[in-house]
Amino acid sequence: MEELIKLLNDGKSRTIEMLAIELNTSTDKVKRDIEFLERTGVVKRIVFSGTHTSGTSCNGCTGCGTGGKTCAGCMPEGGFQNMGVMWEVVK
Amino acid sequence: MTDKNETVIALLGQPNSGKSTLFNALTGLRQHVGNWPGKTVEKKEGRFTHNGKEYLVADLPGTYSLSANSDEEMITRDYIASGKADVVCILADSSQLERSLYMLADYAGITVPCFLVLNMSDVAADQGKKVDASALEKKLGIPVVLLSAPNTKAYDGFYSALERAVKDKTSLNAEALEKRFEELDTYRNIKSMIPENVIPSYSATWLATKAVEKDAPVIAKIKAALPDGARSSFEAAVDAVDKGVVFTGERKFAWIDELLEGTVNTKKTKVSLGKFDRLITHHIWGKPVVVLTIVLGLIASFIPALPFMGIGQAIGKLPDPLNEALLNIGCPAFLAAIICDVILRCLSFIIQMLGFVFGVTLVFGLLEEIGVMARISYVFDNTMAKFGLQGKSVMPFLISFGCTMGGAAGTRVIDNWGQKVLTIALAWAVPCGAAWAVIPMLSTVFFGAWTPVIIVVILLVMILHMWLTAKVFGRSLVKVEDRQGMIMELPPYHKPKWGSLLRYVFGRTKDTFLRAMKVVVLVAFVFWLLSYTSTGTITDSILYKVGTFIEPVTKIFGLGWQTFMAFIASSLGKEGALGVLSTIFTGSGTISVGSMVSGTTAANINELLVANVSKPEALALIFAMTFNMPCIVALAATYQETHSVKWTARIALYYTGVALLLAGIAYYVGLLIW
Repeated sequence: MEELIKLLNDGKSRTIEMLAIELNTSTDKVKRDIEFLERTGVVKRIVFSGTHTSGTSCNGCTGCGTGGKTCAGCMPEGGFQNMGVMWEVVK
Repeated sequence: MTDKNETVIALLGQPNSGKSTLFNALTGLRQHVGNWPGKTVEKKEGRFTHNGKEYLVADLPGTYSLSANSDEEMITRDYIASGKADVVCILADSSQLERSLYMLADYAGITVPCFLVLNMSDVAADQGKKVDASALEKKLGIPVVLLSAPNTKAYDGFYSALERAVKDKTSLNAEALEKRFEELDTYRNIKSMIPENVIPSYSATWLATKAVEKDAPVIAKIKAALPDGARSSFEAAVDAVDKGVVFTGERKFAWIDELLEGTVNTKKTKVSLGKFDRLITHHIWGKPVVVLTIVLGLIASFIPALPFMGIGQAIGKLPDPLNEALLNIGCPAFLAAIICDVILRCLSFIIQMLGFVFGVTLVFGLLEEIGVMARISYVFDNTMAKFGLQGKSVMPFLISFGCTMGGAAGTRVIDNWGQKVLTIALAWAVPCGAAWAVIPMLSTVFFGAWTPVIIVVILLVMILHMWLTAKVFGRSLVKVEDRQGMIMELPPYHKPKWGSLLRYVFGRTKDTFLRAMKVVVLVAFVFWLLSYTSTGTITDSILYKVGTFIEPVTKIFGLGWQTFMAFIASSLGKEGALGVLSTIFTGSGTISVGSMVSGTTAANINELLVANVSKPEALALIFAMTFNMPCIVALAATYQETHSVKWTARIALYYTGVALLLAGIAYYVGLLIW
C-alpha cells in the first residue's frame, strides 16, 4: 500500500489492472488494498452528483432537481451507472 | 460463563461473512433481539445445547475491523474487553481469505480464547480453491474449521473446534505478526512506553498497534494509565506518526499473505488488459482510437435523426397554404401570421432538432451503458493534467456534453476553488446537448453531407479552445501543485439495459422539446413583434433599424445583422437562434422580412435559409453559436458554483469575445472555400 500511494504521486491515473501489473500482484490484492485505504480514510471515493441542489435544473424548471433526484434532462435515472469507480488520495 | 453456567460464544466477523446464517443455524428459535445499551445498534443473543452443555451466543455487529470508526466497532471491542465471552468465534469468507482474514489480523494481540471459522467453503471449492485448515491451525495455534453455514447437517467440525477452543483456552499466536510490527520504529518506540494491563485481555502489542493507527479511545486509555511524567513523551511519540494505519495495515496483509502461502491452492491467473483496454491505453494509439469512437458515435447518431428531419420539413411546408386558407375563412391577418409564422415554423425547426437530441442521447447513452464511456474518461486523464486539472475534472466535461449546468454542478467534487472555477470555465467550451441538436441541424440545412466534417472541426476547435482558455485563466486559478493520480475501476463490458436507456432517451427528448418550445416560441414572438410594422414595409421596423445600424460592426465577424441577432438569442439558449431565424427569414402575407430582403419566395423554411444566408456566413453563425455562452441558466449556475461575480462576468465576456472571433475566422475561411 505504501508503494501504491507512492506510484500515484507521479500524477498519472491508473486502473486496478494497471496497478496490479505495476506492483506485480493480483487485482484482488489491489482491490483489497483500496478497500482498506478507503475504510481508513487514506483514499476517498469520488462521488459525482449531477443533481442540482440549487433548485433549478438545466431545463430551467425548479424543484425537479432537489432531494437527490437526478434531472432527467442531464442523466439517466439514478445517474450514470457504468462510469466505474474513481478514488483519489486524501491530502 | 453466565450465572446460569452457560458458555458464552461471541461471533465476530465482517459484514457478509455469513455470521447471521451461522447464528440462526445454531440458535434456531431460541433468540432474543434487543439493542446494545445506549446505542441504536441491534443486539442479538441466542441459546443452544450441544453434548449436554448450554451455550449463549452473542452475535456481535458486523464490522470491517476492530478500529474505533463507528458505534458498531466500539461495541464489538468493548464487549470483548468486558470478559463476558468465554470464546470468540472469528468468521472469514473462504472464497476471499486474503481480504476477510483482516479481522483475524486485527484481533491478533487480544488474549481472549478464539477459533477461526472459514465460512462459505462451498463457494471457495466452486472457485477451485483448496484451503488446508489443519496447516492454518498449526500456524495460528487456534482451532480452524471449514464451514458452509447454510448446510446445517455438516456442523460436526464446527462443534468440535468450539469444544477444543473452550477446553484448551486457545489463544491466537501472533508472534509472526509482532515481528513484522517490530520493523516499525514508531511501533517499537510506542510499545516500550505502554504499561501492563491498560485494558484487560488486550496485549501491549495490540494497544501499541492501535496507538500507531491513532485510535483515540486507546490513546486516551493508555494516557490515563501512564504516570504523569511519561505522558508527554507518549503524546509526542504518537504525534510523530504519519499514516500509521497504512504501515500497520501493510504488515497485517503481509502476514495474511504469508499465512495463506502453502495453505490455499489457487490457480494463479496472470493479470492482463482486455483487447480494447490495451488499445485505448496505448500511448500513441489511445487518443486517436477514442476520438474516432466519438466521431463515429456522432455520425451514427445522425441516422435516427433523419426521420425527424423529414417530419420537421413537412411541417415547414404547411405555413404558406395554411395562411392562405385561414385568411380565406376570414381569420384576422395578425392571428394567422402568429399561428403560421411563429408557431408552425418554430415547430418545424424544433422537430428537426429533436432528431439530433434523440440520436446523440441514444448513441452516447449506449456507449455509457456498455462501459465504453468510462474508458474514454480514462484516456483523457493525461489531457486534464495538461490543462492543470485533476483527472476527475473529466467527468464534469463529459456531463457538459449533455448539459453545462450539470457539468457545473459536477464540479462540486473538486475541493480546490481555483481548479473548480477553471473546470467550469473550460466546461463552457464543451458544446452542450442543445448545441449538438441545433448545430447538426443547421449544418445539414446548409452543408448537407459535409456535416460530419463540420462536426469534427468543431471538436478540434473545442480542444484548442479549452487549451487556450486553460492558458488564459489557468495562471491565476491553478497553482503548480502536486497532482495525485487517481485509481480507477473500469466497469466490465456488458449488454445495455434497453428499457432504462430508452426511458432516458425519450425523457430527454421530451424535456428538450418542452424547453425548446418555450425558448423558441418566446424568442420568435419577440423578434416577430420587433419586425412587425403597420405599414408592411420591413424598413420601418425597429429590428431593421437597429440591425442595419449595427451591421457595419457585425460584418467584421462575418455576420449580417439577421444572423447576429440569432447569435445574441443563442446566449439565452441555443434554440433561441432558431426562433430568430424562423421569424426574420420567413413570413407570409403582408408581414415579411426575409422575402423582402432576398426577393425570393421559397415554400420551405430550410430553402429560405439557404437562399438568404451565404455559406461563409452560415459557417460563421455555426461557430459563433457553438462557442457562445451555453445559455442564461448556465450563467446562473456558474455564479452559484463559483460564488464570484467577477469570475462569472469574466468567463461570460471572454466566451462572447472568443465566439465572435471564431465566427470571423470561420467566415474568412469560408470565403476561401466557396
